[in-house]
Amino acid sequence: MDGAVPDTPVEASPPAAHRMARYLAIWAVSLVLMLTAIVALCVLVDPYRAFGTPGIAGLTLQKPAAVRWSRLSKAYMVQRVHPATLLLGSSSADVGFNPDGPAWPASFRPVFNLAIDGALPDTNLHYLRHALVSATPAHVVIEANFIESMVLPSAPMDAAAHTQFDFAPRMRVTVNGLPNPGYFGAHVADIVFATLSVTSLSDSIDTLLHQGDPSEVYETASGWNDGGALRRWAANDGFYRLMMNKDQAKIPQYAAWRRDKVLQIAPVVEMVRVARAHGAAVTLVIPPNYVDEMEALRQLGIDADYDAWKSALVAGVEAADANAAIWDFSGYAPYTTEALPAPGDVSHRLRFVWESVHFQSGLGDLMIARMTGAATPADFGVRLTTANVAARIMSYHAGQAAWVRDHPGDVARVAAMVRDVQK
Amino acid sequence: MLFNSYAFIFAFLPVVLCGCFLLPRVAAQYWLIAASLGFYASWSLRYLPLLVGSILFNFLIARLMAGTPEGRRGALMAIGIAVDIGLLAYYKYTNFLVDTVNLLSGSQFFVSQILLPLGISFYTFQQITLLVDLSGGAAGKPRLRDFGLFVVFFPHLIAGPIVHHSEMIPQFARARYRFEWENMAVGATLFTVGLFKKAVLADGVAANVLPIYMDADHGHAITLIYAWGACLGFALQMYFDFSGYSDMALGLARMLGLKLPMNFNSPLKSSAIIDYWACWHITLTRFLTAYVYNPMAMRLVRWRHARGWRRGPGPRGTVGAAVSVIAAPTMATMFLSGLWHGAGFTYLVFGLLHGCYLSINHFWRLYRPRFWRNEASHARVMRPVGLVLTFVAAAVALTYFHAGTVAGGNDIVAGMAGLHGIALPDVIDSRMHGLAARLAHLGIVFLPLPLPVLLALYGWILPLLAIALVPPNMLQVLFKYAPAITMPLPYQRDPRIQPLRGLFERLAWRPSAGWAVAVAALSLCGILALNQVTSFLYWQF
Repeated sequence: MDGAVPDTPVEASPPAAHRMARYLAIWAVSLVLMLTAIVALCVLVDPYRAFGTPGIAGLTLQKPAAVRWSRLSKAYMVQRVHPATLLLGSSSADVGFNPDGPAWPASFRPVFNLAIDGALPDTNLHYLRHALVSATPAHVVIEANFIESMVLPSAPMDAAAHTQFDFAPRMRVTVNGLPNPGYFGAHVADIVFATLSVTSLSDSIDTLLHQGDPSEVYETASGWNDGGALRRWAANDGFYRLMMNKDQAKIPQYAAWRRDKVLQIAPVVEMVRVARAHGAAVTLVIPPNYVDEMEALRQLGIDADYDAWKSALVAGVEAADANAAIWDFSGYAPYTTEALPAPGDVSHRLRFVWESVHFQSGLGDLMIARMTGAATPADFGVRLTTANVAARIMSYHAGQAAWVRDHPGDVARVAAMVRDVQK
Repeated sequence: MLFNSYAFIFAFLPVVLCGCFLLPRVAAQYWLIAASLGFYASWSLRYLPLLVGSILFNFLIARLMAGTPEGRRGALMAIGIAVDIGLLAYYKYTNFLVDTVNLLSGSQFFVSQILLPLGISFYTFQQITLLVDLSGGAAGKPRLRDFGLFVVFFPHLIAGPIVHHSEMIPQFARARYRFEWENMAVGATLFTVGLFKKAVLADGVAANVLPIYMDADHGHAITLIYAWGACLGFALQMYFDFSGYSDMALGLARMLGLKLPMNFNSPLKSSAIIDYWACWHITLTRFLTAYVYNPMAMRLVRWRHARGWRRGPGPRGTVGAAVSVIAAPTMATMFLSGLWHGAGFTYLVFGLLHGCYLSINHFWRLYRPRFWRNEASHARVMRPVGLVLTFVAAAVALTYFHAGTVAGGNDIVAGMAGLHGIALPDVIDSRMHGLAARLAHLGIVFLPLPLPVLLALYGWILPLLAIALVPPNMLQVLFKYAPAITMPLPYQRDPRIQPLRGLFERLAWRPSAGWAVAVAALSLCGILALNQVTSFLYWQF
């Protein structure tokens, strides 16, 4: 055998050109067929809801990947749905406000949840401008959250994260509302990504395999993140562990924020102005946060900044739109001060919040009912104005003092985490 | 613009190929020069004048040298090389030099960050070879279009192979620049396999390796299993990344009816580090051997002879001769090789480690017959042992190559030596109750580390190792169609360890339907992976 093989290539009689041509033709046809099959699969499954392909129950209806790629999916979904109410905010609104929940009055429907996980207000503003190119909502509900207004040093991203987070090119307009010249290119890039990438192929297969899985997280057609991930973690690890994990992730961020103390208020005010200019009635929501977060802010000495933020927000929003409703659900109340289960207890669940940042959709429904005039307890949420904001802040601190006095164990638990960070 | 980008594959390449095939011969050459300059400008318009200026300057020097009698070309060559090296030194080493001076002397000199022009190390070396060979009469008077294309030909412009004028300029002069089915089929096949190696295999393992290196650079102690994973993983990433790039370059050239030199020949199958360097980045080894090592070694031999020290480095020679004639030039050459790869201490460590490896290997080959005379038993034992030793040694050197700091590299190497202990994901213990207690006496601890990350890391390493070690390489698969200027031995005659050899002996490429579908599947994988574009590791040089 060896003896028949030369050491150097020899000019063996070359195959006729037609054999090479046939080889290239088979290759090209095979490649086109395979590409077509994958494009068809990705469009039919539509894992990111980028194409609006109707879902098939039990096959493609639930979209786990759309949650991971919410910046991409919501940018395209919002252009198709023509909502009467548009919801904006960060992950707490994304998880907490169910657009298909029972509390929305008929005049507010259909509702679309355009809240984005991890979004700062300037991101929300950009998405609002983008949505208003094609949508004419009668109501715009904006979640304004102190901690989501904190501007923190950004971490470097890998290429995949960049595709997800570099959302600006895919907006129809720039953050200033001018036509975005890069939109077409970004749109093509998104189509290619959603149809011809390893990620979209694996997400399509993942979508097919995870229909009806109660432990999976899904994004509904109205943009709601159903909180499946939080539900799963709570069931597996218990609410205590969930709370502590979130606290341990967020407290270092609050501590880091103290260095520069940069807050985004202007984009929130601008959102109010833009929505008003498009004829929408604006509601601003300051969401409830679990007591751990309020206690961490107190112990880190950020309380005064929180008060100043609330006052500035109310003043700014009123100046932009005197008719805007500002609802404050923050503070010390039964739904923010539930007792935590014991460590390791996975059976006892909290009723109102998942952890210190995210409230459950049941509480979200109550908030919606309150804001839209349905019957709710009178002390549940306060409509803020420049006239009552100072009193509201005083009431907040009175509640805080009482809670701190009555809960030394919880104060010490948070203090231990704050100490760890300050080391 | 990267080879592994939509813009290159679906826009640039088809346009360049069509233009080249449709234009008359001379116009096609200028078209290729213009396209290559456009390719370069797509990365940085700012440095395009530097590239063009360098070409025109070297061409002028070359023409002047060609018009000067052979014995009087030295001064012109010196001017040319001084300017070339000066430019390279300025762009590549200024920041490193200033930082080093500041570090050693405590001074505060400041030079703003100088962006390294893409490919400067490659095009500088290639032009220097021409000037050196012109000086010795080994090259003729070049034409501008041949010279220009020799330097800027886009398949090799950015990251090699480092081509020699004698193998390219005659090709450019005689090439037909016409479409040929065979060239297209062979070139496209090679390009596709290269794309798959880069976009799927190299980038696939890279995602699992990078976080460990980042941890090491941030001062986290890397434990044994993760350290080995990072080290082996990056060695494989590097191999598939760079050899993938080289396959793509060769494939591109072949589509145009041209051939580049072979740059990789299954280096991980080598049983000795000398053989490894003969198979890894072959054109760099060739350059360093011809233009650095050999002249240096020859001077040292002459220097010794001038002093009457006539005994050489062989088994009957002296250790001093071996050190001065082999180890010294080897260390110096590999020091320069490290410096060529990058301006940083990590690259110097990489180069010096390889200098040590090569010197030890040379000494072993010189002196081993004194104490291990049985060649057959030596081969039987050292082929497998040498294969493992060579791979691990090369991987350790590459650890420094990839680490952000020498300390980061040390951290991983220390982890490989077990100095940071052994840690496993705690989920393993929770599923196998009592395992932690049973393994505690071995120093194995269970920490909250994600198991899927560990599985993914080794899930990439094992198949990649198999691909690197078992089947023939693509040049051997395409042997009959000679896609490179220099070719490896055919797989059947390749003496290196080859498990499952019989299985692959008939794996020669032919224009069959089966190969077409298989290559289409690889193309598909490559195209699907394009959305996460990452640059080639060697583009930074």
